[in-house]
Amino acid sequence: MSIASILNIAKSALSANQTAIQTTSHNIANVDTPGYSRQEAVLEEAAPTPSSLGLMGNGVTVQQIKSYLDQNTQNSISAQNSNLQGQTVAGNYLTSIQGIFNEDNSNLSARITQFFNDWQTLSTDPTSTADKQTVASDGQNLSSAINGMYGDLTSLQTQANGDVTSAISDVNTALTSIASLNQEIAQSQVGTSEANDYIDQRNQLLQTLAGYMNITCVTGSNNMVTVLTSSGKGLVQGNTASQLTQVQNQQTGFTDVGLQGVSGNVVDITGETSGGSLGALISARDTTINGYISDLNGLAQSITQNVNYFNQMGNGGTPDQAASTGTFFQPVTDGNYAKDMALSDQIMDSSGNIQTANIMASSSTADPTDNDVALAIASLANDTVLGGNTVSSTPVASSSTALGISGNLAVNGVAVAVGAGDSLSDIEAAINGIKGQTGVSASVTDSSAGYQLVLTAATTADHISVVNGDLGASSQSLLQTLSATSQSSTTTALNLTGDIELGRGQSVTVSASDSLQTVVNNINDVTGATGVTASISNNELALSNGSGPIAVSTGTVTQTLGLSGATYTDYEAGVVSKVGEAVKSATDLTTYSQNTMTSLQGQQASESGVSIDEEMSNLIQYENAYQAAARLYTVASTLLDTLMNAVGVTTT
Amino acid sequence: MRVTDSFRFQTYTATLSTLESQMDTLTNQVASGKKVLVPSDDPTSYTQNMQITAEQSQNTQYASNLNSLQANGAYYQTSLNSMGNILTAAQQLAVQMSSATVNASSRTAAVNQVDGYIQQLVALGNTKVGNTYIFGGEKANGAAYTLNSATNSVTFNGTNNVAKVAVNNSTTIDAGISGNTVFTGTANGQSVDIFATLQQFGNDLANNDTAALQTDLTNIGNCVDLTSSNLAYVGTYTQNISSLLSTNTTTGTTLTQTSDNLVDVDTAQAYSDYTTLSTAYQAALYVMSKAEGLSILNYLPAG
Repeated sequence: MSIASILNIAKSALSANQTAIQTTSHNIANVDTPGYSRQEAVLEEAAPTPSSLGLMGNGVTVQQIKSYLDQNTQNSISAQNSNLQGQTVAGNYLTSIQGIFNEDNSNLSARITQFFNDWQTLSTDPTSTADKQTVASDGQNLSSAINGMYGDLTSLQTQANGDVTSAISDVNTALTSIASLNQEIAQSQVGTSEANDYIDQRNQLLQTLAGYMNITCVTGSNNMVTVLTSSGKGLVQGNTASQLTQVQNQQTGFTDVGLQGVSGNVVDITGETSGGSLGALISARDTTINGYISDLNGLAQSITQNVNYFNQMGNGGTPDQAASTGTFFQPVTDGNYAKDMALSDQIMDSSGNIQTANIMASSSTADPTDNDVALAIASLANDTVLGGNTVSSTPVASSSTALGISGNLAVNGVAVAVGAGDSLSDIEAAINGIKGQTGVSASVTDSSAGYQLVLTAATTADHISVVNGDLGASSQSLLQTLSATSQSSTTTALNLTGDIELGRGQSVTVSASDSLQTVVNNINDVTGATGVTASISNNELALSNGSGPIAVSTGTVTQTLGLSGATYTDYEAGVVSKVGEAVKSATDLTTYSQNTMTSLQGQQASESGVSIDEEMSNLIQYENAYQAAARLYTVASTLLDTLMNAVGVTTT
Repeated sequence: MRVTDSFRFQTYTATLSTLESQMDTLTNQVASGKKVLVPSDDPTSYTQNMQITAEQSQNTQYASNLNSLQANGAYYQTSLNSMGNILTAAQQLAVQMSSATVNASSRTAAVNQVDGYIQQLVALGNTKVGNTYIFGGEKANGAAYTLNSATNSVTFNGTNNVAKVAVNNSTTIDAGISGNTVFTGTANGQSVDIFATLQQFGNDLANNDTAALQTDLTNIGNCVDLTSSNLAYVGTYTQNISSLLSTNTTTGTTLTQTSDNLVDVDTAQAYSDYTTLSTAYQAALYVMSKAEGLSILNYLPAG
């Protein structure tokens, strides 16, 4: 026990409190530094020294600089950042897609309706030059709207591709920095401010990296962290970082993600890059946007093919999607309907080339104000024409007995003739026979519901459109079947379904179980309103209307077969609904992730964050301790003086 | 729980940002008058409204179709009324001329009157509305009837078929009546051809064939009956158009109401919501300013 030991203790106290003040200063300086965990100089008694009174206290020492880091919460934040960044990017892209499909911007639904309304106006005055010009102009507007939306979607795709490229570069920067921080951490002494700061920085980088893609981290014995992709491929091992590389996709021309390992080999990890903004960008570029392009393509394809089908009929030609003669829209050969949809050359030359009359009806020349073609095209607006990549018919009891319906089906704008004697299997064969032109294959399925004709498109992204392929009078297939065919019995079920329109707003519905006599009775029930009377002559249906004209038509072949999808505007509304729901769901998910993140950050801030008030209190505390330690010097000095004076040594 | 400075500020920003975003949405809704501005606001309502807008547009088109049919219907009615008057005059002439008291020269003189009737009927058959010859069927861009004045024979240039016009999503109706249905047909179980009957009547007058004139009298009677029956048909036809138009108007009103209910903003509700939000915003700012005063730094000497 000596005065010198008091000085030593004072020195240790000054040094310890100075370290504590320095640590507090470090905390205050980093109050807003992202990822910083507050530190504390942990003080402990210095090792005691032996004395005659036993071991005596020997001052204070700084045991370590403790970092208030909750690594588990930090890991959760990193994982949550993957979700949050992924959902935010996905949401942003979906919002852009929504902007493209938003009816207020695109007016697509309005343009579709207007285009078909124009055909109706033309049908009321089939020779009108002005009405034809309007049809051509609005056809052009519709094409331009679809082309524009296609262009916007592909621009968005290009933008996503650019974002993938810059994300790859950002990920590489993070990987390199993590590897070099691993090195620094391994080399620095545990429990020092230096090591703590490196760990904080590495955590921050891991969080950033997780924001780009899902990763797995394993901390080794030397405090180095090994970073793996979600599928287990090494990104950082020790102080070595692998690098992501840009791999050109030969098919799409876009940038795919490669992983270049230490050996220099590049592995394509595009398909396994999930989560985070990089995962979301790849998904938006390769899946989401392509899906909406397919939707738009299906619409453009169906409108192009069906309008051309009828316009070609009006030109006296057999509808042929490959030929350009008599088309309204330019035929598209590469499948990119949304991109290439445009008025055909001849309509561009003169809107007078628009066909309204059915030239085929009267062998060589059409009646000039016949409007069958205009009416057929106009009615496409109400047809449930557009299906998905599969379309099924209404179930029937047998696949091999005659269905008793006749007429043409236009499958993807190519005519399939159906005769009254054809069975479901016959129609299947007929559709398969033109598969080369339509890309649509047919099959007959047998289930408990009955036999169904199932049409399937070439790929899941394709759409099938089926319409009644007949014009005007020839669409009276049901009636023709009833009246032209002598039935074996007047009381057995005809197995025909559809409506017989009797004019003057009256119609009679025929169900599959109705017999000839039932149909006759039903028609006669409304004679008062229609003037049409029905009777049976030689087991055939006969209709008469006194001196007045008989205005009778029937439901279409497609209704009878039940091969239907959606109308054009319902289809478009469906696409808008899909994108709206997707944006809503992405927004909800992002909000949820953000809330979870905020909660985790709160938890982390509660443990690791810097509180100014707390630091100021500590500062005062350490300052007081420092002042007291400094006072020890004075006391020791006084003691020494007293001692020196007592022994006759004069101190100066 | 420790509340740290950085997190406190993050919370302030997040709270204000959420409130601002909600106020912004309400401002846009009130300014546009629509509560559903983008599909994601309410995908179901937005797309239902899209479908309703399409239906409204189609409904307007059907109304336009029906209006033009109704206008033509009035012309059919006038024409058939005039036909009826001419045929009744012809019938009276036939009654007069078939009388035994009328001599041959009077009958010859009456031929001119019959020629006049035929000419008037041809003129009626060629009634033109705009660019359309309303009795021409599907060849309505040229005269429906040609009169050979030398022989008084009349040729029909039109078609029996009449173009169809869509009047709603599932119905098309005849865009009028073909001349062939009006000038030929069946009445009282007999085949009727108005022009042939009058031509024959003229010839029989010129030939002073009193026996044939009796037959002509019956035939002209059938012509009058055919026209009456056609007039009744036109009556039903125009009535049907009127009732379709009335249905069309009702549909239009219903569609507008449905659209309003789906997407239009309730201004009073929006105003009330905005007031609530702005109060919350002010409260948040007040709490922030109070909380910022609570710092140890305010109590420490500056030096």
